[in-house]
Amino acid sequence: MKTKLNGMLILLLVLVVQLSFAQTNTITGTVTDDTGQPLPGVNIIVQGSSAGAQSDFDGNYSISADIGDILIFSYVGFGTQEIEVENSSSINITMQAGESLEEVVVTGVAGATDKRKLSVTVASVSADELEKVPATSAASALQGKVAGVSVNNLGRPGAGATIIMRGAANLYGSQSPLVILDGVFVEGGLADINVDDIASFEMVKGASASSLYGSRAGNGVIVITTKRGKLGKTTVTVRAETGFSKITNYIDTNQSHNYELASDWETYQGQYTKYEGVTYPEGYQSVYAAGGPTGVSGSRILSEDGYSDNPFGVYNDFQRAFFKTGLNKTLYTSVASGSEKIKTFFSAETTENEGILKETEGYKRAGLRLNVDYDILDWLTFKASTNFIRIVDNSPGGGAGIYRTLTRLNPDSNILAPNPDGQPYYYLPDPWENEITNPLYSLSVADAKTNQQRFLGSYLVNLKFTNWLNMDVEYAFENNNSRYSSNNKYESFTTTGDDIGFGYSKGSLTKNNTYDISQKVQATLNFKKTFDELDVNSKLSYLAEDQKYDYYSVSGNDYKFKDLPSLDNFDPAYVSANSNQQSERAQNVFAIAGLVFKDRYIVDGLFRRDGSSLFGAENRWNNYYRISAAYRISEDINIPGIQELKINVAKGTSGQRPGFDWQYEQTNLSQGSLSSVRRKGNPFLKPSLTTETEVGLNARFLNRFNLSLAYSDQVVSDQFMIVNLFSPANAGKSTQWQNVGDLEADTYEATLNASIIKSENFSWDVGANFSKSKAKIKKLYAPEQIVGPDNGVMFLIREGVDFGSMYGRTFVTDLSTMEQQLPEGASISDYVVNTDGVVVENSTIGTSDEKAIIKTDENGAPAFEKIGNQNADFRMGFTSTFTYKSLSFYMLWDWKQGGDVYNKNGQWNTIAKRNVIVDQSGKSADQKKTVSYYESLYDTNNYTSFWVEDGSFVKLRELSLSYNFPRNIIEKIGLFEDIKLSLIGRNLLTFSDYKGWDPEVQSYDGDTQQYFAVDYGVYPNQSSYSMSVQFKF
Amino acid sequence: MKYLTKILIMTLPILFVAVSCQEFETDLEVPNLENPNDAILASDPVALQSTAGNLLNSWYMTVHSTSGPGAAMQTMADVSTCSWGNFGMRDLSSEPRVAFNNTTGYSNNVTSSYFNSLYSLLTDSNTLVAAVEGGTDFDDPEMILMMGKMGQALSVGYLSLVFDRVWLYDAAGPIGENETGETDYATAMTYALERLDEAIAVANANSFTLPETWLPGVAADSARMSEILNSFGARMIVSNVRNSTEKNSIDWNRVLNYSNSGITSDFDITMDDITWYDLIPKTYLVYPGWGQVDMRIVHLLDPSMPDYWTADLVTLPEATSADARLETDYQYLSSNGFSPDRGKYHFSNYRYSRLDDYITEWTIPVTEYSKSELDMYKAEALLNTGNVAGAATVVNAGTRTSRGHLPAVSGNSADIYKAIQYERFIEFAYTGMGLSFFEMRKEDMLQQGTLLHFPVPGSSLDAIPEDYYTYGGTEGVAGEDYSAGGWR
Repeated sequence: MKTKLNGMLILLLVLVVQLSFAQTNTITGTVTDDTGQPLPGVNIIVQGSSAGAQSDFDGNYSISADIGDILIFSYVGFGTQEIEVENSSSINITMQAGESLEEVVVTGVAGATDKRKLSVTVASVSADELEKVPATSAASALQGKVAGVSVNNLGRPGAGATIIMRGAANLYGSQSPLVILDGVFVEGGLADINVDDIASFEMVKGASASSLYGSRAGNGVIVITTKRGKLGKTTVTVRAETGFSKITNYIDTNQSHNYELASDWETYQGQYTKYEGVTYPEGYQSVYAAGGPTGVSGSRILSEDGYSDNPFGVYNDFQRAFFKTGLNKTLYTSVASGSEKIKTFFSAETTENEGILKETEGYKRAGLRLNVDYDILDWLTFKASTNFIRIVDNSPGGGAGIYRTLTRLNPDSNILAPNPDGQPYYYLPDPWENEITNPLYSLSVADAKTNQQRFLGSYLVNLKFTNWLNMDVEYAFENNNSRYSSNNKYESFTTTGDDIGFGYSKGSLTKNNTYDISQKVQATLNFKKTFDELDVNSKLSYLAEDQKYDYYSVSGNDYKFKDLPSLDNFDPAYVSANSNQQSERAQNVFAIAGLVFKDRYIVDGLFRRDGSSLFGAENRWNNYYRISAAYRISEDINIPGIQELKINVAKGTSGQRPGFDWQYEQTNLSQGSLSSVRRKGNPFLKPSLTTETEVGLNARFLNRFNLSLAYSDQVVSDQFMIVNLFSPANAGKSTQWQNVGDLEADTYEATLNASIIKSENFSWDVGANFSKSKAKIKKLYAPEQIVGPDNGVMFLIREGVDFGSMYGRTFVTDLSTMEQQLPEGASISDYVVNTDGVVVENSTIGTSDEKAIIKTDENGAPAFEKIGNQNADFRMGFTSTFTYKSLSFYMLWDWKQGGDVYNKNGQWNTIAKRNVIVDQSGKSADQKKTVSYYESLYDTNNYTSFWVEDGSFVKLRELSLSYNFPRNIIEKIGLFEDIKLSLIGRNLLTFSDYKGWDPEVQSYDGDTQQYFAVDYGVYPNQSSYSMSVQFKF
Repeated sequence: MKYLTKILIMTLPILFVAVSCQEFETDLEVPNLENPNDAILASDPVALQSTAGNLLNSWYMTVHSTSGPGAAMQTMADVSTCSWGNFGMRDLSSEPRVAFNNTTGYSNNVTSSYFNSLYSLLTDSNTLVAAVEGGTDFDDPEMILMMGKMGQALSVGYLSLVFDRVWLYDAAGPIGENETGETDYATAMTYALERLDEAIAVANANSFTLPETWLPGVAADSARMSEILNSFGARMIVSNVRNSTEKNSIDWNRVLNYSNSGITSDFDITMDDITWYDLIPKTYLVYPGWGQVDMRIVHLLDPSMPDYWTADLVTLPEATSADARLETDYQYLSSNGFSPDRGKYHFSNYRYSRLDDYITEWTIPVTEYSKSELDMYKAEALLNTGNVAGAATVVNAGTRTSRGHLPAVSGNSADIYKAIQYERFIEFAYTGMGLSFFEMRKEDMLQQGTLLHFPVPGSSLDAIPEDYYTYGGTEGVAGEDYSAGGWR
């Protein structure tokens, strides 16, 4: 990589030097802004040549040019100036702050539009904001930064984050927005896209703004534009960041047990826990055996009091043995260059993220980007954007279960003991839990990784017919090749009937391969003309999409020869294969027009018609529209202190497409067998239809505040759902995808940015964003359902219920409820609310008979009630940037208020009595509770209110302290134009009452294709600390 | 000329698009090439032949699945014991017994997938029968017909064994007095046995051999299939009764006929651990750390052992037994991994080790229907038709002596019946699904409150739509829907 980069630099250098020899005069001068301050970094080029220069720290420049040449001066935020070289060798320029200071939006609108003249809400995040703390990927870059964009990290390195815009839009199906990167519909997610390349994000959150993208835009749209070459001299940027990640928090576990200790137990302290009633073999090493010479005999005796308050003979800290401090490295280099005819931007990036699991290598990626802009003729331009990424993703061993077993092991489990054959990490390390295997063993034997290659390319030709009419023709594609291999070697252990409880598995091998290509071709006629005081922008576009997916997987069991991870190394009878192929196509046409009269009266309308192979055959074409308007009040009415005031209203539709196989009347085939649990096809399936009404207000006041307010009412009808069918009446088919109802989401958003202090040496900018969303199931034309991850059945889909509501059982927590369900002959005076807040029988407190009581309904059956809601009450983000001379201090705080998490890990751990609440040691006698009592709280793993926890948090999401080397030092060092040193932290502080590792936790459910706030089997989030140094030359 | 150049250059993007797009297709009619569509499945002889080949695998994988009721039935019968909540094992065997949670919100649902799979099996079987009767061009139509009839019999039969109600239909639509096809479990079993008899008749009248993959490891010629079908007749007719009163309605002569024409050696199927595997009862009820042998069974082997692990018991020594199978089929557990506070009644000092080869190798033949099982139906039929001596002869010639090395049984019919039942619990409790449950149900032996059959699954009731209902605990009619009292 380095060699290639150097070669390119030398080539560019040679080119510049060669061109320099052709010049004759040297022109010098100073560039200042309209207040007279010198402007450093202004690009100066000679029109029609590649010769260029940049103004220095004092605004001075020097460039060689002939008389008659045109010098072009350009600088971000200022109007470009063209000056002809005459006899004088000195040209001083005053740059004028132009309209380009105002942000321009290109997403979802008829043409590039000044943000002040938008009639819909489009949020944006610029490179400046991203570069303060460059996120590890584009997926998490938006976290906390934009009102109405809820981003939740998935802890595993390379897994990225989930993004939901405004409220939930789907009962079933992904909530992820459509992502378009330089014109490419990104199908493979944002987790592999580096942030250093990104120039801007534009976020179209609601359906009214996203209507332009029709049946793919029901979840909103994110448009990412990467950096491109600029007019001027070649700029090389090198950024290196290195640091480490660690788990944010350890879970407390029970360090006591409730069994009788042998009278001589202390003699064996440090070796194992010696229980009464158990006979131990010689050399017992505190691990499990079913029998044989290493097995114990007898059973442990429950302590008479039933309290878990007796000490173990050995204590091990499994979490510290299991989690490590993982290294992170990023090296980024870019070369940007531009002449009038060609502008190029090249970058190379490598990122390594080890993660925090021992014995696991984590995630690595390397990416190359080349963006090129050609001005071929004055009426013909061509833009190419290409990005190639290679990824190696090592899968942790053991699956989701390891996170639970890690905290479920008894403290005397000997996880570091060697196995009988010398392999590290004893397979069944818990003396009394033969069902759980050593999580460290699982990690250590894992030999599973994905090798992936992604190529994203877009190629755009623009033909300019007249000043007011041009055409774009674009081809874009993403190609995703992924190969996964998982090898369990011959000697990897499995549970068997052997005395020690395990033996060799004889191994297995799985290899799979995915090939995915999504292509689009789009032709767009762009019209832009001003008629007197009326500005007209419009587009007419045709878009064709084609996506193909091809997958196969081959597995073999029982190696014939050891240490040969080959599919040839199995008896053919034990080799199996399966495949999947899908093809999705769409043809879409749309027309959009935006009118701006007198710079203040704004209307915009669009119509789109989508045809998709994913729509049921009987509903193959669907229509979308938008109508929106805005009024810039401040253009008509002069309100003191208010520089800009605009209101807007918009109504529009968009939607989501069904999944590939939802419509087909087929029977699933797997391994040569027809599926016995069958789904009926639905040729009448329609895309879901999102209709949004949005009202917004934008204001700039007191010359330093920017305020945006928006309210959105979104109704998503024709919701997708897998509906149960009565199989005897449906030829044995028991489910079907149907359009079943309406989900309504209300969202309030506010963003306030302020430049509190702005002086020569010191500035302080702050920003705050707020959003509040609520999604309610307004109509449901199907029987209610309960869905959730891991066969979980907690999230109720019922008419009138907030989507994301948790339903389950509750314990009686007040006496008046208890009075309603008193057992026969009992009196309410027999009951009391105990210290955990649940009603128990008064006489049983502290005894093994103390039990939480399940609330019952009128029939005496356990009541089924709302026990929580995973949706946040609101979310807020705060940013603050202090700059003092060359020092900059930046913080981003992310506050999620409300939003429950189901602590399934905590509940599961109670079954093994490892939950810290079971630990009675150190409690006074009158406070102690028995394990039977806690068993009643466990409630046989039913979803129960006791395990619902408030997931509110405040996180110091991003922090950086940056130092830009002063100009005089830079000049002394030479070579460089800019050196920036940063100390960076991510997720440094978390304030939360949540008892698990991290309240930012989500579990995936394959049936609904959604993430839910259930803490089970989830790779925990991490804090990371790093140092970054960036050079520009 | 200038315009010409412009036009030429304007064609560039078209060329560029044409070159760039590989296999870019725009036709919105996209086939799904992964699965056979329903029209083909209903008419194409190749597809129908493949469906026929899939029937027995579909049935086997349904009844031996963890999604089915098999594991819970085994613990409800107090033959196996397990304190884990998986597969309804703990909830349905908790003491005292409670009602089955039949709402869609129950996480250990064990009936929905079983119910739907058997109806898809019935649909496929109906399609095959109709195809043969409609003259579809099969190489061996009689073999397909037998498979179709067998599929009808096994699907309806295994629905009848488990649920309170069954919906009967064939390719033409619902069958029976009710326009929806709904009927009770007894009528449904009558229908299943009629189809079974038709399948037997086809097998007896023809000569064919099923392809090896249809029933791996079985030399499944028509004669062997006839034996297997007859054996299922005996199993289903005896197992379908809900209580000892209904036992009196069993046509024992029919059982005897089935038994006399049944298997003469164990019906074993070779597992491949890919498409054929047995999770229940052969994996999770015997795997170390999972199901253990209920003390009721240990007590049968060694009457000096308690039949119930009471709260005061700490440990139990190895048992001794006159039955040699204690040594060959059972493994002593010196300690208990289950948590005592989940109920010490789950404790045991034995696990079933006869299947250790299977849970190690995974690709060996396993017994679905043992010769001993059929012998016991025959013996019971003889007993119930007055031939006590004949029954004793059958019992004494079987596994009681050949494997158990127990003395021959003689005497009154109660003793002989006791020996029959003993074999059912000791010899073949881990072959077919639910055998011990069916035996306990027939003899009113299930613990008080144990459900006698399952309600129609909640998710299916949702779809009818019909209100949820359930059985067990005190839900339903005592003695008809839940046990009014049993062995304890």
